[in-house]
Amino acid sequence: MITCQHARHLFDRYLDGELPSSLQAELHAHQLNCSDCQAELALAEAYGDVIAYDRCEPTLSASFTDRVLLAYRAQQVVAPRRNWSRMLISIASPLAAAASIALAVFLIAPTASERPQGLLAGQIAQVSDPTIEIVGASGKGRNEVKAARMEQMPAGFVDVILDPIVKQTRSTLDGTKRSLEQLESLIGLGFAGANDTLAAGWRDLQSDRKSPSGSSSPKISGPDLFAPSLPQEAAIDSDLPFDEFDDTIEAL
Amino acid sequence: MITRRVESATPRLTRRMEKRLVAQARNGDQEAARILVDAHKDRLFAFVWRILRDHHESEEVCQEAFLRAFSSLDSFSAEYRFSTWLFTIGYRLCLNQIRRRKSLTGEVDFTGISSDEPDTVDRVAESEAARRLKNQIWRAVDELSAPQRAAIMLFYREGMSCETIAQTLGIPMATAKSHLHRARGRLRDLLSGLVNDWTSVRPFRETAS
Repeated sequence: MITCQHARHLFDRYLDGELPSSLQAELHAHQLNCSDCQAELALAEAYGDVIAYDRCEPTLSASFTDRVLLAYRAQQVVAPRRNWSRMLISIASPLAAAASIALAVFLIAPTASERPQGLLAGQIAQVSDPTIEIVGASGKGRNEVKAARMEQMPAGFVDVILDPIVKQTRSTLDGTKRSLEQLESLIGLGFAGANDTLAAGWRDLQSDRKSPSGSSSPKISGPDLFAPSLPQEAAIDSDLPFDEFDDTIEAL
Repeated sequence: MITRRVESATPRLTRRMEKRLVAQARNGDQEAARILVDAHKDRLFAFVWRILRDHHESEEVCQEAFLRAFSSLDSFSAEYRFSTWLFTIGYRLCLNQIRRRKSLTGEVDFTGISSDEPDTVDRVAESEAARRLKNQIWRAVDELSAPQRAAIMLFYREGMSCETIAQTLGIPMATAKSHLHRARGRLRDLLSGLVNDWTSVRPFRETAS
């Protein structure tokens, strides 16, 4: 038979519903003979019943559900606006970061003329440098390890990755510059002058195309108004059917 | 062993139905959201009101809890009950509210000050002795700290296990048990002198029968 002290230790586990059945039986047996423990458990059951079943709390106002749904709808309307700004940030941030990294690499990396002839892309994979591990293990500073890595890096590495980007950017800038010059020149000529110049230039261009052997130079001063603003390579590589277009114009 | 199956005034949703409604509400279905609010609002309000003891504040907290629950439905894990999640949000908002009160009024915590219980039709029908006893029990409950009150309400009213109480309150299970056991100890101390023989007293069942 368990004592009162032991029984009271079991009360919480019993009320939590976690008392093994063997101990439950012992507790019930003790309760039959102990009025104090019986009263204490009765008290716990009494307040437990009141808390569980006595719904004496005030009630919510009748319009509560409508108010919640109204506020929820309002929240849904506002939400997309927030999403736009978030979307913009989520797109712009990585782009800005990538541009900064590319710019930093472009500015920091030595130019092609300062380095020996670059390697082909396929040769990069063949380069192995056990010295990097040795340098790192010798406890040198991070900068020294970096410098060692730079030395071991194939000379054409930066060129292989960045050259196409740099070329593309340069040609785009040239094209934009040319467009600006053309525009400035036309503004300088005035409306009537610009009209005449363009008509004359167009005729010359057509005659040049028809007889390519007589490569005549432009007859107008200043920048070449018919030079494409896009780089020549891009114009040549593009799939636009320029010849067909010209033929159609002529037919008209 | 005491097994408590609490029947609430509003019928509880089955787990399957709750999952379906949550999925529909996630897709912006207002009707599903309405059913979820109607199914949980009274239980949530009772829980929140027991902690805050202020009608206006409790309504605001409940509304905010529903809005937060709906606006973050995407992060809701289907392994939990919607009610557990809702009670978790409600409990945190209650603690924030109590903190705000303390910052406004110094250290005075109004949750411990019992107000007059609202009269309802049921209460008028009760015997005077039973009503007085219930009031004393609720007054003792009001003496408990907010976490103890939350634990005891979730255990007895919501029929939650210690594990679910711990999940709901965002605390370790040992702490949840400690809150529950300390609450029982405090209630025993506060109530044991009121009645000589509690074995003959069943305040709720007397009136219910």
